[in-house]
Amino acid sequence: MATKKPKKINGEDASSARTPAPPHAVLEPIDEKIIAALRQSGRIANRDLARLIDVNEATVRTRLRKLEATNAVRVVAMRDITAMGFNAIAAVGVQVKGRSANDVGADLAKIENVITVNVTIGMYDLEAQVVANDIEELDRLLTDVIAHIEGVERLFPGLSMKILKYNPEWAPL
Amino acid sequence: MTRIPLDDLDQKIIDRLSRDARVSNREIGREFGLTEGTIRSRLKRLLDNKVIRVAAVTNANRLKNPFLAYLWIEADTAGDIQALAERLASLPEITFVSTMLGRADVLAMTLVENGSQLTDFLHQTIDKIPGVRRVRYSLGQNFIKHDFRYCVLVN
Repeated sequence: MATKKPKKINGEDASSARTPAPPHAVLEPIDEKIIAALRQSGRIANRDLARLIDVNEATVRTRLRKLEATNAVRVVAMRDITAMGFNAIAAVGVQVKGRSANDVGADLAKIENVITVNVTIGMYDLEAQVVANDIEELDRLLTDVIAHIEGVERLFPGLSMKILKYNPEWAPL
Repeated sequence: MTRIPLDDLDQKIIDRLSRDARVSNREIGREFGLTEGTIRSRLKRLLDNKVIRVAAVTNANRLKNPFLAYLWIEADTAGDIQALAERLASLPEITFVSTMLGRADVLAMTLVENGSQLTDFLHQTIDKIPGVRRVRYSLGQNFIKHDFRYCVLVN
């Protein structure tokens, strides 16, 4: 079975055009309110959002444009993993040998079906989440692709049975 | 979960909104050569059927020293797992909860800014949840990838 390849939507053109936000810049209370409202409903009209937090529409428009331009916040559509046909979702611990965990993690991150990668301390060197259409495809990704990345020594996968919550609010943008 | 079939237009709309979801229906319609009404009804169908959600994602670099804590939780008994997972999912600090086949009974994730914040959270919140036998954790020190194009919509 073919690997599901979601289309690349987060292209270099769009991301590199963004001005990096000064890290840890403090947001003003009004910005926090706008963000909180947009976490609830990302498609709320500026006019309704303005009414909700009791400021004028122009303020909302200007503030939001600034938040997006500095890459502090993005308002995006997120796809439901199961609605996209991914029925096999694994959390995979990775033990690395002979290469830095960062380099191995960067290779893992290139795989479309790997949706999160973190260099970790604790049980293993890396933690990754892998999505697949079914167990057969998951096996192929783990056995034929990930296991052969240079520096990957051992894999410790666990299968998600029922995901009760997956609600990303923070991400590297 | 029932799934609705998605055609190319649905996929195009989702792709467009995955880049920037503040674009108006009229603007999407103009880009695709379709009417605003078509886009509006398609989008309503996608949202109503929980195929997508549209929400703000904040750049993790706004946190001082963010690390993602993976909490691998063992339940007292197998019968406690479901209620325990539901209880974890109800906590606002926790962004991911899944019951597991292997590694642990439940995996939960939370973003914290320092070790003492994590310690407090583990001792004062997680350990007090009935049915928690043991928590092992790993700490994500370098967030290489988080594909925010995905989520799970739970009723």
